[in-house]
Amino acid sequence: MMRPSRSRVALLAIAPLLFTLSCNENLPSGPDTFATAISISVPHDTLVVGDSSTARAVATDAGGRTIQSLTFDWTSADSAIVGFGTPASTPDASSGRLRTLIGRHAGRAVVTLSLPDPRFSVANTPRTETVVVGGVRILTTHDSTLTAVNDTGVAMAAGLVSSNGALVNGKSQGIRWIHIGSHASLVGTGDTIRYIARSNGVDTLIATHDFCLRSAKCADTAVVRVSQQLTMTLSSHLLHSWSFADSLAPIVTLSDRRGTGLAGTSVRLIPLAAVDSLVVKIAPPVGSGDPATGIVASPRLVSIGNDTARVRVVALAPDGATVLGVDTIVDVVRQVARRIQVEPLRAVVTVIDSIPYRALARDARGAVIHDASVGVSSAGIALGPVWIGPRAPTSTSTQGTITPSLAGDALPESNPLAPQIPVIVDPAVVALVHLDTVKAGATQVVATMTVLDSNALGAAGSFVRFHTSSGPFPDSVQVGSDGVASVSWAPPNIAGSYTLTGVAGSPPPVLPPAPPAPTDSSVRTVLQRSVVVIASDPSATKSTVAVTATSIAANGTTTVTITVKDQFGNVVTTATPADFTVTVTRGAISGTACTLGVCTATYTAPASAGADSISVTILGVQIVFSPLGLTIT
Amino acid sequence: MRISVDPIASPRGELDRFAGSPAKRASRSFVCAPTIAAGAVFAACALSMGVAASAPLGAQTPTRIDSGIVVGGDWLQANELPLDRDALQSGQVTVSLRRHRWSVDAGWLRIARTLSTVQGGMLSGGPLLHWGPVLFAPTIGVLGGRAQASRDSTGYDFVGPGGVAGHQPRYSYSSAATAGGGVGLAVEAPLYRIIGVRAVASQWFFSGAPLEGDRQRFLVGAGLSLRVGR
Repeated sequence: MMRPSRSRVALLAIAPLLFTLSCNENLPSGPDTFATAISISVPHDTLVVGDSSTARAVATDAGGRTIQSLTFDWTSADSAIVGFGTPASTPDASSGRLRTLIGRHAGRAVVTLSLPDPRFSVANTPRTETVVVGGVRILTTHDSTLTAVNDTGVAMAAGLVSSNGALVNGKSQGIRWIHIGSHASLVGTGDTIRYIARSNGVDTLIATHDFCLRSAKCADTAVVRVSQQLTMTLSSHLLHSWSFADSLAPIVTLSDRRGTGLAGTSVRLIPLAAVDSLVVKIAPPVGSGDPATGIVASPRLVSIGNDTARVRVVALAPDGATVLGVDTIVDVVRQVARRIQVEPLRAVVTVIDSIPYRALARDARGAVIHDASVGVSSAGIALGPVWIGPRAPTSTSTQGTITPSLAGDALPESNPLAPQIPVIVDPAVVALVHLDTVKAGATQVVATMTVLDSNALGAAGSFVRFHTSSGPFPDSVQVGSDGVASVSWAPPNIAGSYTLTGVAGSPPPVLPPAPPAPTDSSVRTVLQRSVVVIASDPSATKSTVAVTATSIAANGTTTVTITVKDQFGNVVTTATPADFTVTVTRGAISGTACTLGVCTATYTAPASAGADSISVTILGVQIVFSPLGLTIT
Repeated sequence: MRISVDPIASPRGELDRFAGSPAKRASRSFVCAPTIAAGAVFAACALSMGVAASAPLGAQTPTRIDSGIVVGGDWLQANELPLDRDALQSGQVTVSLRRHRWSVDAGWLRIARTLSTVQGGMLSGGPLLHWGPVLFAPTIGVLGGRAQASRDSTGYDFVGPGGVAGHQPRYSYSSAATAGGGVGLAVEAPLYRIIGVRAVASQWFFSGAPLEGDRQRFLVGAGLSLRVGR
């Protein structure tokens, strides 16, 4: 039998060892982590504020089996919205497998479940929980009316929250207000807001909540009405007008209690009676109203007569028909003189002429005060009741003045409430010029005049229009800047007396387009210039000769008549025998004499019969019918 | 790495699942088995030593495997079947130096369990007792080697569909040197000439962190022996 060697024994011993060591034990290890999913199980994801819900954390492995005995962590993204209840002492509660969710405030928050266990590979699981209110309720009035712009009201609303199983009003739950309309503005947010009246109308406020329980009453409505209660106030009920054309009106305020007006409102002024309309006229409003202050553009009372007028003030709504207020004002019109004048203030008058004058008073706006008591006194001029002049034709040039004086109601002193301004006295100054005489053919006359307006200032730019007693009129002339106008006038070349009358233009109306105050144009006569045209020099072409008879017995006589005329046919009344030459062929001329342009002479025929002739020449030129043939018998 | 998710394969799962059932009773017996087996081994050893001391030499029947150098190999997984992992089952190979009355053994011992393996060099010895052709060999031995274990310490319990409870293991593997000691009894009978067949039971205790709380190993198995020298 073979004896095994030691090496064989060793080999036999080591072989299993090596074999064993080389084997893989395949002992299980791990896994490091388990694929796990965690989830939050809740009865519902919506909580009413104040309510709670029990959430369960569930972890399932890859096979969908529920893993037991784990400990979870819970976090809330916004613990003010969703909070957690204090865990109970049960294992499930203390380990986080059960957790009470409490709705604290309306909103939405993410609750995150995490599994802080290194054995599990798991992502945190969020779950959005919504906390809602159980309804919305407006706690204040549902229908309010504000009677003035900027009036304010308060609206309060609350979200309903759960308390001990009942819904009660909850504070600060994030009420959201919806404002429909633009007649009020809102201030503030949240439970309580303030609404401010802005304009008349109706707005709707809706209190709602973004997080409200479905099927609950999640909106409540309130109506806000803005209806301005406007009151008309007048700055004055009594107006005084001291001049015609004064435009007066009280300041009319149509505003609510806070002093805010309403756009579109208007005011009408209506004289109460016809007699009132004779005192004042109604003019359109000036400017525009200001709704911010309630001031309404008011029509104006324009004074047109001295008396007291009662005028009704009617405030109208924007529709133009609804009367918001009625009141009455009184306008006392009493013209007070600012100037007294004698018109025309300046005039040029030929001494033989006369022009009318008028003493008058004017108020501050230049309107004539018809009922003023104005007296006059003159110096250097003859003055009748209404006429200035005339004087004797031989009078020389001179100047006269007429000074007015005032008494009665138009005096400022008689009206203590009126401005006590001294009355300006504008006397009339009349230049009396001598009568001019011009010869025919050289009749042109230049007349200069001063024209003043009602303020006794040069009426620059105004016109003076002319008319004459005969012959063509000079054209109108315009008053220069110095108030002086001049006119060139050529009377006809016909002997006679001629008068040029210049009338200043009427003053502009004081109240366009009302008719101008009645003004007698005669008192606007600023020029009354008379000129006497006399015949020119004797002219052969117009002068004539005539005899009583052309057949004369020898030694008989006849009368020769020579009518001396100038070139225009005017009888030269101033003619003398020297102005012409009379010659006869055989007879003789004697006893030549002239009267008012008609000259006569006696012709004595010669002793023998035959023909004879009478020749009359002026400046060597035969006059008409000269030589005149005679038959001597 | 292979992960078993079979709850039955999980020791802890076994405990949980078998609780209150016939299997539970088996599990309890299993738990107590190492202690009982150790007592039985010790009793058998004492009995064998007593028999050896009281039995006359002449009454002993010489066998060819009670002396000389005997090489043996045993399969020791009989009491821990099935081995639920893909690994070599428990066993040992020994080289024994036998001299009729005593025996000194050296060899390699491997104890494989589903979740642990202890293996290493072993040195044991003890008397040889003869009872007829049957040889009783109570031994006491030591082992030095390495312990490897996987522990399901961090698994989890679950409830599956239908409310069926279960456990998902999570193993932590550890390995460290170990030293152990044990007693055993081998009953060996000649089979054919220098070949013997034997049954082995032994109880071992091991040190080492991987075996914390699980230091006993009871082995039952069978093997063959072959005398390879004198």
